[in-house]
Amino acid sequence: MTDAARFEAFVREFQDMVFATAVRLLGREAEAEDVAQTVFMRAFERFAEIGSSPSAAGWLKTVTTNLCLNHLSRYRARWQFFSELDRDGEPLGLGTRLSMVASAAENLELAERRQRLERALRRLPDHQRVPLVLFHFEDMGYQAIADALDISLAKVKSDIHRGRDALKQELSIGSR
Amino acid sequence: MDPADLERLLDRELKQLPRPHAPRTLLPRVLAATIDRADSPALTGWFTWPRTWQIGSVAAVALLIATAWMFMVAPPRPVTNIARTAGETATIMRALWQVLLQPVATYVLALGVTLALACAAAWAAFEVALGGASQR
Repeated sequence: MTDAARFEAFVREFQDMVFATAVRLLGREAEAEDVAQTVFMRAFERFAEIGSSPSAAGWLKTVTTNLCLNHLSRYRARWQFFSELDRDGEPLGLGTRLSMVASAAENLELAERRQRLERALRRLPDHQRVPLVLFHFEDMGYQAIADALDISLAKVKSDIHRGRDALKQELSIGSR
Repeated sequence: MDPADLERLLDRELKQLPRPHAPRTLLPRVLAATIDRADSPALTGWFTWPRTWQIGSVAAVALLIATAWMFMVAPPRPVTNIARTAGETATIMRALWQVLLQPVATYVLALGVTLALACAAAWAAFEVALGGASQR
């Protein structure tokens, strides 16, 4: 197998993981795709090292998380609330919708609830969504999140608490 | 609901969410970008350059250093001639400046400033005179 073919297989294997991490941290598919491309270009530069490494997935997750946090701090006011208000009703991407449809075939109600939850998660303001995603999807502790975001531990806890409250409302609406 | 219960419930719900799929455009974008990158090896790190580029760059740097060293230690005759001529010209120019120009430079500068001020004053007076005439 040539290097190009190996790299293509590598991207195919990890693209969903990288994109999922990015889209949940950033909340927007277009920006997540840009970040995912940058992540894979970094991987391409070091492909001789990480191409066959068992820690490739961990390396990709770390780079994705760091790039997303950099992106948020550079291109958006990270904890700005009002920038998020215009995203109500933003449709999910085709890939996400296809996966939702597949789930719906098995259990429509469950799939709809999950879709609502995914939407609600992405609609959360940055300052609530980012620590929430780091906590629940990346398994980071409160202190590690505070360190990564350079904010106080109390703010991390309060933002996560508010984010959970917002998501709880979505779940309770769905269970009616 | 108790916060700990809510945390557990949400953790379970969130982890059960299906993983979003990467858009179909991502793979072609990445592959196209890698092709572009491969076409311009100068943009990547030296260690990722092709072997011939690496050897060529090392040879070029070595040649540059050797040439600079040769010029510093034993410059060729044309270079020393040019340097000597430039040095002699500079000495003559410095002597001319010190003997002929430097003694009168202050006076010339003062005269220039005075003439400029006089011209400015004359022009202002001229404008006032013209302005007054036109207003009549």
